[in-house]
Amino acid sequence: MGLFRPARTVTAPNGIVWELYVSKTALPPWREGEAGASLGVPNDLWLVFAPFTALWSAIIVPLFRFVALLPIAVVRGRRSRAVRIEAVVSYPAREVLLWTTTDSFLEGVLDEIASGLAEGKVVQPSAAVYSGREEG
Amino acid sequence: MTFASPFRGDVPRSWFGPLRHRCLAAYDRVEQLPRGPERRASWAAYALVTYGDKLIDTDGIDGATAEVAAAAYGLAAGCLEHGAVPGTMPHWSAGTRSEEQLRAMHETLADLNTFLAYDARDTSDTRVAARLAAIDARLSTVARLWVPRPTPELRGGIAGALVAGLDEAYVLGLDLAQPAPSSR
Repeated sequence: MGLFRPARTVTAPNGIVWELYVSKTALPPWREGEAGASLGVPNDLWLVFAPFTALWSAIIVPLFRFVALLPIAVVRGRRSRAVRIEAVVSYPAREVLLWTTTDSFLEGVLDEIASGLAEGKVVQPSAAVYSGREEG
Repeated sequence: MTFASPFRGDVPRSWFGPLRHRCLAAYDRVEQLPRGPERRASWAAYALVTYGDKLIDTDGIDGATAEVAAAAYGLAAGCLEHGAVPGTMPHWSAGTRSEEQLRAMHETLADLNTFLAYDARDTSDTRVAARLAAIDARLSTVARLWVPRPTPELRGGIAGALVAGLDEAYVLGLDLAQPAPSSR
């Protein structure tokens, strides 16, 4: 089970290539803060501090949050028998579909999802929960 | 529309005593009555009181569980005392179900399914068999998704299968309690 290597690669009838990734870890979502709010910048100094607040809210705060939550997510994933399956298409537009199953049924569920995508369908295997398009 | 729960914190099991006492006759009556409106109301009461009993069969009953259990007992009492049969089992408000809540729902569905399979043992109606098979499929889905410490996604899938299965079992029981098989 590799986070960065697809478990299956499927080509849909319309030529779109889906890559199926399997993981036990749900990565923390990347959540940007509100520009300026987190630093308490006064309105009249806004322009001066704008680049810094943008960097702070868009990169630094989300990165710290992500790094802080990542170990918890990894430990939680290791303790659970739940497995996430993400079907990812990168071109022409990025799209991510998410299923959750258990380790006992992983191979069968992967096969069902791959067969469905090869036929242009998003299937809902009985041994998995389809959560739809993933946000964030 | 959302309603504020009247329950705050854990509710003691004894709180349900008087309410539950009004419904206990359902356990005996459902098997004794001939098919017809009275048996239909008794089946509804049986299903509802079973659900309530499973929900409160725990040490700490949280507010959301207490709300659904109280609704189940109240509806069951209404079935027995006034013949007022609800169309569905009481549903949960939004949110993710806890393992305790899922366990109670699962045990209720398993009990109702066993009752229905026995009740329909002499029925040759293929539609009834198909509806029983659909409930079995819900239980099968639950069994496949049930793991220790399930994630919110898995709990959502389990809860979805159980809610649908409970409603299907409840309505099938209502139909089986009627004398006319054509209504199935």
